[in-house]
Amino acid sequence: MSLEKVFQDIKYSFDSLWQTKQRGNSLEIITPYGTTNNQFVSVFVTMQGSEFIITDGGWINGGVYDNVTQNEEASFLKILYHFQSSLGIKEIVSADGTTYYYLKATNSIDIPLRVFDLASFIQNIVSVSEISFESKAEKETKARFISKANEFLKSFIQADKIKLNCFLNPEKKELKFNALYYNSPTNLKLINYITGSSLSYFANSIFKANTLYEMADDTVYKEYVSDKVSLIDTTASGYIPEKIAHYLSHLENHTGSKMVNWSEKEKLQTILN
Amino acid sequence: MNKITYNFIYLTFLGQVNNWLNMTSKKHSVIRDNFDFYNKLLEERKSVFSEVIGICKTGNNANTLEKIEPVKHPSISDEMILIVDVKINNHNFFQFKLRYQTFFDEPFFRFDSDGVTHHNKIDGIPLHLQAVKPPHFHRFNADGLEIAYQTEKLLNETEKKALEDINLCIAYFFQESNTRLNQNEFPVIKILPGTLGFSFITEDPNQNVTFP
Repeated sequence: MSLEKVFQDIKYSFDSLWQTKQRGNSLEIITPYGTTNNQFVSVFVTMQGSEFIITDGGWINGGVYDNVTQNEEASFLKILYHFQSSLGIKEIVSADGTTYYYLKATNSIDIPLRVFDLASFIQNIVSVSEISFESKAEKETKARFISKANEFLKSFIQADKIKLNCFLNPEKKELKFNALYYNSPTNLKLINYITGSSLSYFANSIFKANTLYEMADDTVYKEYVSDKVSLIDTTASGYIPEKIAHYLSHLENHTGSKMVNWSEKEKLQTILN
Repeated sequence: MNKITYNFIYLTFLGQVNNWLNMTSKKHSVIRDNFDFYNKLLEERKSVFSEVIGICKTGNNANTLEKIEPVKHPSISDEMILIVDVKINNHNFFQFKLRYQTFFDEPFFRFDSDGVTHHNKIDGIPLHLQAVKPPHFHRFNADGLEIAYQTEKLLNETEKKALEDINLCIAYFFQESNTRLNQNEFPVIKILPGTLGFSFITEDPNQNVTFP
């Protein structure tokens, strides 16, 4: 077989992978872009007024690619934001809470480029979501403490007064806290959980809390925040008091955060009232 | 040549998909190293005990309703489960999964009514024939590679349309996976029992979303 024939065969095979499926007013385009978990990427093209919209159909957020959907790992988020900003991918949360990633084209000549970029975005994000950046021990430590702390807060706080794992500004999806406590609509308390399976993870968790509080102070929400509360996991293997004391005191002095050890968690009932 | 390949792609799992070799993708050694046991999980008669499977709560994903049912398998003493997932806003988009976590974390056999086109990365088959659109079944082959396949029923447009009905489809899934209720019966699925039974079918995923 001549190499030119090989090329023709490659071109034919790639070309044959493109498929479509009509879905109401949208056209699903199955592309030749593949993920590392062996799925072909689909994009959905529809019209909105005179504009063409190319979306992921909410499939990344819906876990349709068998991908992890609630990935909060810092390394994953860095990669997500990198691809999002490099390719100019927009996002919107629908009324049912699903995040859609999309691009627009006002001129039909630009549609192929938008499909090229969005398919590349989906391919990368789904594939990267398969990578576990943190150790199993760290993931388990975090998940266990979040679960314990959430249950404790829910045990004495009315459901309509607390939001768990929530953005300070939901529209911009900025600054996510473990919990937001609403004393009234104009008086809220920021709550951060601090934990880690090793000294380094524990220290990073303190630094993250520090940054989140600092950044919250730079927003319009500052005047509504009456307290910042850090709940410290004294049961975690990364909690080594003599090694982290200066980080914790910096957090307390620098941000004005109230520090509550898990071993004295009942103090939260006094702070949150 | 193409015809032979095509038949390979769409054989049911009781056929010879097990013999596919030379894969170039992610392989699960626990399945590859215990492939006889894996086949036993699939082929031996399994039982469920609920005549009605009512699906009313969301699972790990907020946009998916999920129900988990215990499954009895004659060769194992601990828990095997059947998971039925239905998208909240599109009841025609559902999955049936059989999982035996002691052996393997992910479902070992599953059906997708809709969703993503799967890539069976198998040497010796033309690239474009490696793409398998839903509806399709998923299983693992002798190399521990997850593969999707369609049966003759799923390739027949009329039968495929009929299998959009979740109750006809669960019976078909049970036949394909050798699972039954009692001697030779199938359970009935009720989505959001106790409600008016309004069926949400949103074929267009972009419907009702405004893109600023």
